[in-house]
Amino acid sequence: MNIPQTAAEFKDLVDLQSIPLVYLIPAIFISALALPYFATSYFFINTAIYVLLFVGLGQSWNIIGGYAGQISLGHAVMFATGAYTTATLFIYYGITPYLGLIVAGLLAAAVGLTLGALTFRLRYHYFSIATLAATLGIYVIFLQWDWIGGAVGLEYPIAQIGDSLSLMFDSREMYFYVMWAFALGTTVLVYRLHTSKLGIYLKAIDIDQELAENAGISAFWYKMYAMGLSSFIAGIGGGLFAQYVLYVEPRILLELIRNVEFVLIPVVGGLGTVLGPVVGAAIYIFTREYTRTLLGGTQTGLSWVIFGTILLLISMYRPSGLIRRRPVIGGRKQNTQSSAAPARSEADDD
Amino acid sequence: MIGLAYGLVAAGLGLIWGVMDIVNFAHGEHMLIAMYVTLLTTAELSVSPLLLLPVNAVLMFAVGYATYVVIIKRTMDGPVLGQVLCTFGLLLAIRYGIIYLVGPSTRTVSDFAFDGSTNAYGISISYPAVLTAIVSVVTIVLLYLLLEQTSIGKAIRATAQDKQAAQVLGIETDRIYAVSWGIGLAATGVAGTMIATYFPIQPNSTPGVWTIASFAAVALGGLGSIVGAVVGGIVIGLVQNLGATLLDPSYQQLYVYIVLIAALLYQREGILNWVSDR
Repeated sequence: MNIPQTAAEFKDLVDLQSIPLVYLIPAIFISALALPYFATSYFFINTAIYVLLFVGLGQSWNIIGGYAGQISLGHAVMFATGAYTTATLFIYYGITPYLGLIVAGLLAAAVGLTLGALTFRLRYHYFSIATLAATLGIYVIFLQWDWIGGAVGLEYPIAQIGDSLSLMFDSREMYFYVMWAFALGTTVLVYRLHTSKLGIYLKAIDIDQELAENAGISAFWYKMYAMGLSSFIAGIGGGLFAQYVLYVEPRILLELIRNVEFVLIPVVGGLGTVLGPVVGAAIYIFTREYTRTLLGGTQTGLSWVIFGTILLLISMYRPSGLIRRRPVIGGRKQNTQSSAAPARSEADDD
Repeated sequence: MIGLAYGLVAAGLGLIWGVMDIVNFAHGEHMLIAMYVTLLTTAELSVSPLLLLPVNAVLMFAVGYATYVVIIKRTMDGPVLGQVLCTFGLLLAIRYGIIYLVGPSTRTVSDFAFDGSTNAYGISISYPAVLTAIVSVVTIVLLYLLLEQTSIGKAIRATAQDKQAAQVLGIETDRIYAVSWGIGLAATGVAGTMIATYFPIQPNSTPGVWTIASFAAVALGGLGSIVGAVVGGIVIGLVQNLGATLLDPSYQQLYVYIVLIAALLYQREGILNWVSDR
């Protein structure tokens, strides 16, 4: 790689980065397909499955938080809606999760749109507070709702594992491929969004809502559009999560941590970037799983102290995440950085 | 009764919120610090929680001041996302730090000189709850006097109204922000100390309840007004208790969330105007 000598040359190099994304996404995902062959332990494949699932969930939040700039703290609601829909349809009515997941996505989108219709009039942290209150409210309702198992939750019939339509597998590898498809699908969707008019409109709303409205963009409806998409993905993600852990329970699905995960992943990786959630999910899940084993369980809470501190540091020094949406072009320091870390600058999109 | 304590905590939150337009998502967690200081010192040293009131107030003032200077200050000029993430990060770090250090079990102050309860009009009233209400009222009055009568209070109000004008007049707004954080958290320190005397404390759920209750109180009462926050707090206390008695006690928290969302939506014009006026 030629080391760019001037800022202008460097800019040219970075501008080219938007093209490789077409190659970069397949490169990452196809190479990820090889992972099960190298998987030596249950721990490893389990971690990989969660990374892929959370890539999808991160992308879901990325649409509403990264592109539209709405800091939702209520995505656990849609996640739980999806999980419960898939689970109840299968457990009570024997409807195959292949269908159930779609219903889950649609229902979650409906819930998300309702939540959006209520709260999108609020801006900034008022929106965050309202969505957080919504999650906590739904948590209370789900805890008391006997039909879906109340605080105990529902368990999948273990006997049906391996049935052709049950979407429950004996082998972890199958789960891996399902999650892989989910992660790929959502990433491609966000890529399409990124390069579409919708993505640009959403970013405009993020940057300056008044200005965007003056330019004729209906902020409310575009936010609703983003919310619908985002909730649909979150719902399917919830359904897949339920299919993997084989039970649904309010505490697991709706606790505060779930809301934070949605936010944490794209924020760590890079908000409003296509690959941000991919990077973020990998960092987050690997850290989570390793601290879990090394430090002895999440019950001790130490891993969350770490993540809390990471959030603090990010908000203080890099509020847009590790991958920058638009790399700042400047003096020589930047130049040396680009030659020293081509792997990282490749991930710079936009 | 509990409404007055909500009012005090909400006044602390509302002060920070109103002065610099930052919502402290970790408000309940800050309160948790004071609660645990009370729990641990009373258990180890058997001192009266009442003696801890000034200690906790000073301690939380220091925590608030430091929080602003070290952390919040850096996010002030950034996007709202940075501010939300920042207090959310604090929330996680404090809550799980406490769980890590002390354990997730539910705890209460074991013996308190004023333990006991009385029956009045068929309602059982515990003495610590009465004492908490009294302490809350006294602190609220002190807080009110501080903001209304002293020069630092005037400086805080001036900064809240117009930061640039305040700077022109020679007010060090940075210091005012730090002091506001200090005062806001000192109020929660006092409330936390008293609440710990009779309220079972569970590090996973207690802080959230208080944070949301004070959000709701501030949203109801309006920003930047101590009286409003206190009235809001009393209303929240009433909503909780009436809801529990008249409807279903297991949905007690739900009523607060509904009030919060409703208050936010109803107040949005006022809130938005306030934001754009700044």
